[in-house]
Amino acid sequence: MTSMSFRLKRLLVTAALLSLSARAQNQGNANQTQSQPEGWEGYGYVVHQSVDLGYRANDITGSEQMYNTLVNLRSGPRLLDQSLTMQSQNHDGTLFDNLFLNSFGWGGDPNNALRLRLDKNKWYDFRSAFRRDQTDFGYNLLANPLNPPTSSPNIPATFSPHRFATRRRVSDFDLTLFPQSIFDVRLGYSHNNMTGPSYSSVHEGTDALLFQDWNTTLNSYRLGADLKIFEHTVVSYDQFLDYYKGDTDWQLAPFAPALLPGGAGTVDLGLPINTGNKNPCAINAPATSLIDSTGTLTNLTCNSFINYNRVDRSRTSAPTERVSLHSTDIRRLELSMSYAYGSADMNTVFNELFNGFQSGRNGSPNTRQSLVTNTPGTTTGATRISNVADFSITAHLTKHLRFVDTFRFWAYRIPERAFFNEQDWTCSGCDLTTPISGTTTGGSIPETADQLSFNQSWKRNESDLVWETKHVGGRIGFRYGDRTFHHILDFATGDEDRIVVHDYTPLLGVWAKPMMSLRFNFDWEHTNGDDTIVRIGPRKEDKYRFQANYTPKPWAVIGTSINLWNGSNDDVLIAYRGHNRNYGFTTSLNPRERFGIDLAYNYNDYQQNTFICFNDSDTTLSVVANAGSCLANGYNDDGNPLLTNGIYTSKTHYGMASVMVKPVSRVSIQAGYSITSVGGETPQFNVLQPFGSLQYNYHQPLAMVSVDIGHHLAWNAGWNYYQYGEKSFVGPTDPRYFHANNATFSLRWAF
Amino acid sequence: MNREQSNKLLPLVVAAFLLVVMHASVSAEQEEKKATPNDTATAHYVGSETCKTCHEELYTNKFERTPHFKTTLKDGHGCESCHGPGSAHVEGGGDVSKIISFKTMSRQDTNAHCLSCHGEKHEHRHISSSAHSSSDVGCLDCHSPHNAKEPEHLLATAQPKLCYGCHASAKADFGKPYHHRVDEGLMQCADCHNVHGTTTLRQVRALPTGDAVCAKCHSDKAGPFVYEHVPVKTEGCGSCHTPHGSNNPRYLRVSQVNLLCLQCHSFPAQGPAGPGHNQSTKYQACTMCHAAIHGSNASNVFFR
Repeated sequence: MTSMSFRLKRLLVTAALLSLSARAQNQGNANQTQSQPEGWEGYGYVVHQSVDLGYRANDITGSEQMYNTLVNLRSGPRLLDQSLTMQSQNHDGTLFDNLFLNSFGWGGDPNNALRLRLDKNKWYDFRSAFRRDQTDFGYNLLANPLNPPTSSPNIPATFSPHRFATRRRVSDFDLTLFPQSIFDVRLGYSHNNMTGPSYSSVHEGTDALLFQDWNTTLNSYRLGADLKIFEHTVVSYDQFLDYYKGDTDWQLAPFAPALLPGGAGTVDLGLPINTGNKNPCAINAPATSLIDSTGTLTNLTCNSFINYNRVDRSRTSAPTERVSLHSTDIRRLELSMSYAYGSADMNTVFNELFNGFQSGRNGSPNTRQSLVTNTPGTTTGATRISNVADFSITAHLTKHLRFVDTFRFWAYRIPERAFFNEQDWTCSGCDLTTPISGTTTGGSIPETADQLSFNQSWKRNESDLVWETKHVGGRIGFRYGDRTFHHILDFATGDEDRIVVHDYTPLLGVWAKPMMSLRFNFDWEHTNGDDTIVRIGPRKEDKYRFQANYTPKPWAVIGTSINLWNGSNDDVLIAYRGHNRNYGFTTSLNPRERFGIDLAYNYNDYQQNTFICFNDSDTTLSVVANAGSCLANGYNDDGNPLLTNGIYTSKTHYGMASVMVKPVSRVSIQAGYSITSVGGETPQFNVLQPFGSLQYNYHQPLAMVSVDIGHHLAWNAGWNYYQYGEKSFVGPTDPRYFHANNATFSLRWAF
Repeated sequence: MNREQSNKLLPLVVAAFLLVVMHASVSAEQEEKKATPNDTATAHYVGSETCKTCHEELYTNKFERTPHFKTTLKDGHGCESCHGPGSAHVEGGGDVSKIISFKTMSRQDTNAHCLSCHGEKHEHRHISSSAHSSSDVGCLDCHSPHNAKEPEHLLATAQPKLCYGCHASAKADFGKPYHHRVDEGLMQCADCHNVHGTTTLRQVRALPTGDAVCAKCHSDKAGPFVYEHVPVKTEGCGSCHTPHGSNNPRYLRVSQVNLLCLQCHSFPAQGPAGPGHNQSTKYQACTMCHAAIHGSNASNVFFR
């Protein structure tokens, strides 16, 4: 790392001395000095191309896991950016009139994209995109058991037990034939594939780390047609088919391995290692640790895993049909409506094997092995039947007054079917060394789902009266919502949850434009609901939004906004309160080609609060010491006796500034800085639990220099700095702090 | 000020407001009359070549390079397709009052011109009922037919900077360390929002099945599952996640997952039962066991 650092500094100093231009990550080509060339003409087209080839160099100090999670730019050569445009000189090319192609990130960057558009006037319009994103996620507090150092053995989880190194590749292809005729045809296909190693966990007595070989694919096919039945009336039909394949496998991954006595193999104790709390089991005296100095397990009745694997092959076929109509043929009336019917059918093949030791509770026998499979001759899965209808009408009552009504209906029902057989091999007075032949099994026992259908229907209608002139306008309206949630657990006994929610929302908006370059907007709405489906769904909501935008010149954009949201639920057993208060401004001034400045600041104050009951024995924690009694206050939850206000607050400051200057026509320099600074409060339920991302600073300064060296070439150099630091204690894991320098050097050729 | 004084002042305030509105309406009508010349009604088309004689720079370096140039083909009127017949403008020696100028036109009139060709596209079908329209955000606030910085859609500025000009909070959200990759160019605002209007709130795109657009990329979360987690389907992804950016690595509304779970899973009488685990001794994160929290085919408590 030291030599790397030296090399990087040398490169940077060289770049500064030469006053060469920089091109920093994420800034595109906006500040490059190179003027757009005239292009070249050939084959009847005007052609513009650009290629940006470069090299990235990194210098990372601190947590590489976090660097990969947040930035993930690695060293190496890159094709940073590429573009090609071809436009027919007479706008009547042989194969196409226009072609736009651009892509970026080739050669190892975590984000690659390629976008292509081809069109030929009345014949076709083709759009395509390929996107690949690479996620190397390793935030080490995610699903971390926070193993205490007092445990014996002491095995902290220094990495994220749930971590990912996955790649998602998404391709979209859409072709419209005869786009300007009275009858056009639309064809489309999308492919979404996510693969890669990742880790998860499973609970069987204790929690084992699992290797999760991620593999999911979604293929989407689209076919549609539009028929213009009158001059401004179009009827459309679309058929969609989504086919999803879930082929992810899970298997045991070692975290805390121990030997079984007598060379009987190895066993894994799982992620939570807290012997003081008997996780995964207590230490049997005279031993002083679960694992002795030879690496052998000292308690053979410990919850643990010898083997685990799971296969869950799910296949979902989801055809959807949609008809729609759009018309503006009736004078003063705009009409748009659609209806879609879909029926998704999912089937799964499930197989799960657990081999190890699960201690029996309350006198029940211990489990040495279990196997869960689909019941032969049955299919396990779910079906979703969905109906979606929407309707919007705009009636222009006068030149300045219109009535707008928007209606949306969405209903689905999901009948579920689960037919599994579970076979357990159990034993009493046995241990991990007991062979399966020494256990008893009741054979394969059928199990069926305890949920049978999950249904919801949702209707929403909004009616607005909109009045507007050239300089002032507004709207007054009312939104009505009606939701029915119906969860059927047992058809025979009538065991079901049924919740009906109505909500009523008056809304108001006004805008004023004293001059064409200045606009003020104010919007307000208040929602009053008579019930909620989830506890943190507010019954009452208020939203206020104020915006001002001033564009005195095409090169000057000044904006400010205030967004306020308040939500509440006064149910005495919930007492939900939430708010989000956001204040911001943004300024972009580029008065001359040689000078530009961008400034932005935003402050966000978020709160989410509701009564919660919980179980905690650590009276040194203030949330425990100050907790009330759930039972004494009418909450019948024996398992969670403590009552508190579960208040979460987060205050976020964001600021950025960027200055671009061109001291001479061929050189441009940009310097910028952005910071996100976050503070907040949350109940601390565990003394080992760091506040993590509740309180942090994230700094991102950058500098760029770009030099037009002639012959359509620009030499660019850029420097980005990233520094992430949390403000609370680290916890029993690796620190998450990092800072990194990222230098990018490139040569851009535009011709 | 006491209630009596307030009651006396209220009619005055309302009357003053109505006067302002009426004055603004009258002024607007007058200005619009000025901005929309009557001469265009009697004028005739002169052809783009005539326009080019005075506006050659605009024509050759800008208009000719845009897809709108195809309006000159066949029986099209080129420049006059949008700006109206130009004979009066030409005969008036370039009198700008005798041709349609979008610089002084109201948002709704400008939109009407654009939508006369573009209104039937699927993307544009809800534009007149959209939040943008009722907030006086029109086509030319985002699109620049002659001076586009983004040639494919003729945007005045490329996304996301264009959107950040008004939506300052979104800029801050995407500046957080945990965010969807919009600033990186992998995604665009228009991937999730149809800025031309939808029948959903916040102009969020929906899949044909009615599901949120999130499921297009996060297809493994779409289901249907044998065991659905209620809020995922009833409230949507936004019940737990903030999609633009978050202070939680998994884009949760709160920084630590246990609190989020407990806020719903607390009282059996009010909803699903709470965990009952001693928070001080184990189970730092609920999702350590409830790993399949978006839905499961094999566990009604989302263990697998």
